[in-house]
Amino acid sequence: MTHDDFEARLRAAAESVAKLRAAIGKVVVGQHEVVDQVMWALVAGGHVLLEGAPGLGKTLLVRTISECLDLRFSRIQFTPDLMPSDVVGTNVLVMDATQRAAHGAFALTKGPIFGQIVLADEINRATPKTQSALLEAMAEHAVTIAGTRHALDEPFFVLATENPIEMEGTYPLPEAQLDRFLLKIVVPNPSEDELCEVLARTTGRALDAPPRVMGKSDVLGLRAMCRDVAIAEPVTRYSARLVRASDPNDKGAPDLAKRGLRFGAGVRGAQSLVLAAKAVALCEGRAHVSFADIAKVAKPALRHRLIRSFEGEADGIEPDAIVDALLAAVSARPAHVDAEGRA
Amino acid sequence: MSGMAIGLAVAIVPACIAWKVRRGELRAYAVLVGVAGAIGGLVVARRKRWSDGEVALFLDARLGSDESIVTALETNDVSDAARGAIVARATSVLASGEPSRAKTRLVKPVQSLGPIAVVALVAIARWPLPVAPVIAPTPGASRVTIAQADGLEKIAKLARVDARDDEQRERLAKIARDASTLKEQLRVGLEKRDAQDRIARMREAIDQERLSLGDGEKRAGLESAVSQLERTAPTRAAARALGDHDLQSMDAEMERVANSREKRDRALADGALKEAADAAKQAGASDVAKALENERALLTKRGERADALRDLAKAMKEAGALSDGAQRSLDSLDRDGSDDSARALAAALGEAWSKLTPEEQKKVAEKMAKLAKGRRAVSPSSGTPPPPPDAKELEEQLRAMANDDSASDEAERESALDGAEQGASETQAALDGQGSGDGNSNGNGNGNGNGNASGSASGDGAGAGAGGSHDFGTGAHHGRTDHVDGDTLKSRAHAAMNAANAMPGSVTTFAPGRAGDVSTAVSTGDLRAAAPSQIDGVDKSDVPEEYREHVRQYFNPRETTR
Repeated sequence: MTHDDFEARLRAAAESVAKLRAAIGKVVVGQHEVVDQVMWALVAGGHVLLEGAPGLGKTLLVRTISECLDLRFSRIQFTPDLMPSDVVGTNVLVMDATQRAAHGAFALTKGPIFGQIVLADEINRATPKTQSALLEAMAEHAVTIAGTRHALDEPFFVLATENPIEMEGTYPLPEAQLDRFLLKIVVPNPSEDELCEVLARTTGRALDAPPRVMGKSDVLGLRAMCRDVAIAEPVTRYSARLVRASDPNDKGAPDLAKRGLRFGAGVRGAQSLVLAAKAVALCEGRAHVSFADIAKVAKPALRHRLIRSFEGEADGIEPDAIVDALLAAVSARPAHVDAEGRA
Repeated sequence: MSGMAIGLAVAIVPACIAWKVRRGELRAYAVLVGVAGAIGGLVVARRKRWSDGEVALFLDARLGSDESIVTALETNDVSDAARGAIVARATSVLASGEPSRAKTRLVKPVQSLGPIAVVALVAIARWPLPVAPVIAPTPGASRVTIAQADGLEKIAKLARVDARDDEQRERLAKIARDASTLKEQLRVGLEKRDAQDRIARMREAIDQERLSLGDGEKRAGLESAVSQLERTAPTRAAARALGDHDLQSMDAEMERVANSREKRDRALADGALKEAADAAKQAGASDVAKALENERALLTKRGERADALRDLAKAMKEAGALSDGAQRSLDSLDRDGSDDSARALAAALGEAWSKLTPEEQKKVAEKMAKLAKGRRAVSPSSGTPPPPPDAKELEEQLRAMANDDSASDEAERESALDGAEQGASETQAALDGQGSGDGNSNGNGNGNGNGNASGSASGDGAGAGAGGSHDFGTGAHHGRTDHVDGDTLKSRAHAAMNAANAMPGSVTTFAPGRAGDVSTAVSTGDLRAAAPSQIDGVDKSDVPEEYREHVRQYFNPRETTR
């Protein structure tokens, strides 16, 4: 493959992502940033945790994506009494025609985790045991049922949602499990215009289903290309410096991080940062990552990995504010180059 | 450029220092610092030279190429196709970018220091040096020259003094040597403070030598001798003088006793001197004993001389040959008893004797022999009387008596030390005179002292001279403190502070206290017996109530164990 072919593939990838974005836009009003971030996670091969108040279109967004992609969709509504077997499936006794057990034969009944796009709705309402069943599948793209390992079909893309209010009776995800989500996307309230458009679309005639714009092979191709996106050493080092600076014990950490954090992001955070930035570059038709890409994905990639201290929680220091402080404190280029470059 | 500018700027500092300390010739060398700074700047610039990656980052920043140039330069872990695409994009960016946007600044603000520093260096090099401040000379640092230090010559004479013992001889010789050395050095020139210091040390050594008789371990012998002499009235004054180490006064006092008409006083003094010498010898003060023996021998010699002169004067008076001058000298001898008066009487009698005819001389001699015989009859221990002297022999004796100025050895040493002390004062005064240029060194001491100093001073120092003020007087310096009526020393405690080893040095009984006494006896009393009110005083004290019983037990264990 020549570099012209590579350029052509890059353009095609960018176009297909744009088509997907446009198809989603026909159903979901506004939320462009959220849609973009979901695209990045889809392309990068990671999972997404969507956080937002009820009624902001989280479930609609996921359902629309599944409709636009020619992939198997399943939904799990997490409740406190949901069992792990309800997620991954179980072996059931096979009955013959007379409704008798057929000599101890069992057959696997696959759970909803065997879908390709899985919506884990209100994930924080299930018990940790059930949550861990999902998270194991997310990490390994496989589940083990009755001692038999079952690989999940690729692409396997989990979109979990959680509600930041109504926290009573919920089981907040532990930090180690949060770390398995590539991005945590905060779904904002719609603007006035967006709200008007939502009202217009949802209170009139039913809309047509969105077109399917991408299939399994397209998604896997995008993911493969994402890994081919180049990143220069200074950009990688910038990512590393950002993550290091989130450690409150690090010399280069900004004061806000030192005051508001107990633990910073780890290695998975840095990996997510680079991978998501590659996805951004690919979605924009570039074969390389820029400093701006890193900065763009910093909040969704790091916000759920910053463990606030008691002081940080008491003072209401939001993770996004700390990420902003990190971006302000860590210079992308060496100081002398930066000074000359700005001049 | 930056390094050179900084180096030149740094060079201003040593140039300014050289100007400030008035080392004008060093200012030019400050430029070398600038050159060194420029070389250092080049080295630093070389080490801080931008890498290719940094240049790529700079270009990306300037051209807004989303880091495509640095990615093309520094990325290896991608497929060839991807690399090709990245390089093509970077090339495109570089080709389409405006060259003006990629230019760096040629001149930095810091480089403007260069010409400013050059101007400053030239200005400092040409600027007149500051006027040297007038620094006051260190006191005593000026050099003095004394061509002929007569005072030091007096000190050097100590080497010829008949010393009491070898140790003293060595000490005196050292003082004399120091004086000679200083004299030589003053002849060629010496720092004034050094000379003053050495003279002060010499004076200190001379003062020490005055007090050397009966010092240290021999102090007890001296005290014993003084105590013995104090017992008899004729030697009481001499005892005080000996106690004060004023040996010249002691000799003068003994001279007075020896020349007195009262033979009983002489006998008492002789006995006291003998006992004092014995006491000193017993106490180990051989030097004091030797001095007292010497004084005793002089006492006898002086007494015999005085008796002989008085006999001759009486004989001549009876012969009608006593001149008025001889009579006055006889009266003076009876009044003050000094050797001077005795010598004056001997001279006057000699003169009168020479005017007598041989017959008269023979007659006077016979009369004199009779008087001597009568005196020996009073004191039979004197032995057989000598035959009457012939005229020639008596004339010789009178001449010898007139010229006899013998004194005790200690008095002579004291006199020599006085001379040395005076010499030191004269030298000191001469030095002071040199310091002031017109210093007047006549000083007056208290008592009977008078200072005198002379020296051939030449110098041009500034300041005011202070004349010598040492007291060389021979007035009475001995003193006496009033009697202290001490109270009795009473024991009030006998508590054994350490049962196994009783506290030493506590006082027991009622002994008359004397000023300066220390208590040495072990206590045997009882706190309760001594001060019962104080034993029960714990109940009235500030001791907390719960501890009072412990305190009471501690101070009165027998009471509580009963």
